[in-house]
Amino acid sequence: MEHILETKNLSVSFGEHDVIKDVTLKIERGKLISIIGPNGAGKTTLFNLLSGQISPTKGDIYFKNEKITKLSVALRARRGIGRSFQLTNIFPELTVLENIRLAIQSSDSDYYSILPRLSFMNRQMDEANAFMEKCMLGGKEEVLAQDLAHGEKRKLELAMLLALKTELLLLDEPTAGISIEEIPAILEVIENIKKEGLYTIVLIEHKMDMVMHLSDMLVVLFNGELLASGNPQEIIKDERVQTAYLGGLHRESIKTG
Amino acid sequence: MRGLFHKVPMYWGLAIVLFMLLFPFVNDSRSTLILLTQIFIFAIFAMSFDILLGYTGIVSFGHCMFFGIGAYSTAIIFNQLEANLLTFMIGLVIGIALSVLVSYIIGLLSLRLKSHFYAMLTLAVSQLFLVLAEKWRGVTHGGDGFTFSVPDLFKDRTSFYYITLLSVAVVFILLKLFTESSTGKVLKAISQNEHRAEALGYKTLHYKLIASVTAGVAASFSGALYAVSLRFINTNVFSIEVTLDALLMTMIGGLGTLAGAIAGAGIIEFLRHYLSELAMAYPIFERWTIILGFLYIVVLLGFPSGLAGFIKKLTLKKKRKVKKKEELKKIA
Repeated sequence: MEHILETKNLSVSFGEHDVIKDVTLKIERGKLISIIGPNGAGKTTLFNLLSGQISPTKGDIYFKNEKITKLSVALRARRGIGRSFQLTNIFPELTVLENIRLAIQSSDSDYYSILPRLSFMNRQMDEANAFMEKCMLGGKEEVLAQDLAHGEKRKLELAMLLALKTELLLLDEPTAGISIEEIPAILEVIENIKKEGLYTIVLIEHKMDMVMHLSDMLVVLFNGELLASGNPQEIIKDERVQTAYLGGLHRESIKTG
Repeated sequence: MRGLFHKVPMYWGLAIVLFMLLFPFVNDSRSTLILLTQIFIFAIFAMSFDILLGYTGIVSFGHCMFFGIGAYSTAIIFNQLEANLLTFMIGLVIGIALSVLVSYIIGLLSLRLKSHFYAMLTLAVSQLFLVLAEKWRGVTHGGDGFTFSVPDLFKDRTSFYYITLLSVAVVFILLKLFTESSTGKVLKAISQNEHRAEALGYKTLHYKLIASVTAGVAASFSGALYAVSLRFINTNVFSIEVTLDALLMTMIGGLGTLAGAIAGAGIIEFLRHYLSELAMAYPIFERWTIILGFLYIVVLLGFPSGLAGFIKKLTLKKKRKVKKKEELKKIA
């Protein structure tokens, strides 16, 4: 099986504090991998390393067998790594359609044209509409992104990621801060994306039922170290994981209610 | 229709242009014609500032330097060589080339950092140009400045009026196309969420450089026209007031709408003209800058999105009312 993403001895430290320690990870193409671990385990930091927001102190990252450790955020996005953020990260004063269109424009490699091309833009608009349907945002084209409900904003983020036409999706807690009623819709969108089989998805998620339902593989991080990885059913029975994480999860479930 | 100008009230624009075209035939006041010419010139300058602040969200405290570079290039060429259309073109090209160079270097040095670095650096470099203009007496005649003659075509107030009117229209259309292009859309995205734009695969530094250079070129062009309209130049073109004028005009007209910048230029120049004329009759109006300051405060508090934003709000309200009425009809 081909590995779309690999990390070798990836480490990063902020001052004295090691946040990620020697993480060596192989991610298979077309699978859905969930990263779990207690708060502060380094999950989002690992994402930041993968998408290029921060650079590692040690170790390397390979995407499709090419070293991307030194590439900028924008260049990694162009290669095919798309990412969503824990806190909603959209263009608040543009319409939903424009938000998605900007992602399509990037995937079209239409970067620096300084004169508008109408036929081109109309095609992008049609494409954007298709992505809106896919993410259950139909009818919201002309709404400003800042006026969307929180759950819809998360859907918009997913739509933008899909519109980027990347191969690897890094989803950082797509259900964070979402009300219980809205979760099934997000779950459905992610499931549909997975079914399409075009993407490899890496998911950070705290909701264990969702993780167990979706994942092909589980990665457990604890204090910045890779504690275990493998088949979800087996991982969940692992004693070390139980003590390290599921105790933490218990607290987590009380907190999120 | 998803046309290019779908959001612009095009008929209004056409009506205003038509009125401006016919204006010299019905007007015989020379000072009004000169005032309108000044408004057109400052409209170009304000639009260039709007590309930076309104579209890309870059704050510049030294935008006057590009205005000054354009003005001095033209003036010096006219003074040193002979005043004809060819030398005007040469001066224009030199001014624009210098502006491209300066805006590119400043942008490259500071735009990868947080935005206030650009603001500080532009302020510093614009003061540097002010000092240069003061000290390079052999060419610039220092702070007193110098007068020069302009080509015959520009001497005639009516023909120069039409030239500036044409310039505003052309610059407006070019900048409008620019902001509606792929690049322009990314600029707007950067102004709202730079990190997201980067995560989408856009190299934001490149875009901010494009905005910086575009604004520099347009400002330089307006500066050249300004010098021609006065037939005189001194170091005032490099003063901070010129930058503040551009800021006021775009704020009053509405950020991020090129038409707003034109309207803002009109309002400010018009007020300045009439308030200083009033000062001849009522000495209290000698302090007309205070009134401008007061206007500025009112605008910031009352209409934070400027004139354009205010009009937009009104039309939206109207549309909603109509919609509501239709819905009520349906129910009934």
